[in-house]
Amino acid sequence: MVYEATTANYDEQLKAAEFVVVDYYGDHCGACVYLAPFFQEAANDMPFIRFVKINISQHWEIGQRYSIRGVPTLKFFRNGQEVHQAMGGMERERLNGEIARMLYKDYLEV
Amino acid sequence: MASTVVKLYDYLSADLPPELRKWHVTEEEIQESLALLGRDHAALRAVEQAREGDSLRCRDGQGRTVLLYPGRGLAKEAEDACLGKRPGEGFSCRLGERDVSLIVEEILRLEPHPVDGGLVKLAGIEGVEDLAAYRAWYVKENDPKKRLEAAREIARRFWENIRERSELAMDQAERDHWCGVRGKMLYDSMVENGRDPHIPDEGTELLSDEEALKQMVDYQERFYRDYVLLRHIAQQDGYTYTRELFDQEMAEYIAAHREQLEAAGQDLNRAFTDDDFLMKSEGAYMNYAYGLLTRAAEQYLED
Repeated sequence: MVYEATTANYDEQLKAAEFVVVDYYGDHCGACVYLAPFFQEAANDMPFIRFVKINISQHWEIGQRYSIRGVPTLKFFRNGQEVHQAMGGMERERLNGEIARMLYKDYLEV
Repeated sequence: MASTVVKLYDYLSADLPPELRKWHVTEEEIQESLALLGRDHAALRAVEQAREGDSLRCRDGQGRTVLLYPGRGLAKEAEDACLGKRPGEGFSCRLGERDVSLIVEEILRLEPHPVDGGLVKLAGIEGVEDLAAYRAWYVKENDPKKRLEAAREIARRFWENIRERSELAMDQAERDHWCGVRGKMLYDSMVENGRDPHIPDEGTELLSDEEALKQMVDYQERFYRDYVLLRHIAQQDGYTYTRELFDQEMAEYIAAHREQLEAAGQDLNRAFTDDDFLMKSEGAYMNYAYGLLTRAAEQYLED
């Protein structure tokens, strides 16, 4: 499942699992709508990872705190630390690639 | 002087593919939505031997967690190597650029909820307790959205034809001013967001500030043509975006988002210029004209 975060519970969401992926989305955003089903599909398909989304049109303080410049932005966290981020609507294949970067960061360099 | 549309393509006479007329929810879509619901409410079960589609939590030699999802293609060699393994079992594989040794700690398998009345109740839709009620609800919820999507797709086809087949009489001064304002706005935005506007569209030699701005300005011409067409479509229908409308919209926007804008450091007392109004008018004419084209598109839809 995808957890819907708010300003109040955002920090708690980041601590809830070793690997966390956050989708920062906004109102009236076509690319966000495009990404959403692929994000949901990945969440259904990949236990052990926590998938979170937060509407930064409503929770703009989070958008400011994390310097979100555009939506959708995906941030990938391990043990609460940001590993990397990606921007824009994307299909499942690219999303899988970004998740792989988070999971296997320690092994991607010789 | 303003650029004008000499001849607007007669989009209502466009010959469109018959499949664009279809919009009703299909049985296939209902089944897919139920299958997705089943996956949303899937049960996770610990299993004793990994197969494709399972999810594995492993540990490497340094005690770090390694997650593997055989069959999803995130790390194919490692995913293949873990098939058939059991909790507590070790194996070696290639992961990224490294040879690693992993120990399986836990294997989970997703079991989608069967498509039945129980699943429908889990969806928590008011008044929907069985599959027949779900079908009726799904059609009622989604038919209007699908109708709108179908109308918008036809409207997009109208617009493509209008862009390609209409004739314009360009006023160079208006063109230069419009492209200059828009180009400068986007140039400044690129710089503010850490993107380099000096990279040329062709070649490898970096552009000077002046050349970079010119490149950005010249790039705007395609959008200027669209603006002239959209303005024409809207004004033919009796709509003109005025300075009064702009001032009112800006006042309402600031009132609704004051706290957010102040926190972002925006100067809310800044007077809006004629160029601000010009750029806002692009969006206003676009919204109006697309709305008009979408309403015209509805006459093509099946009953």
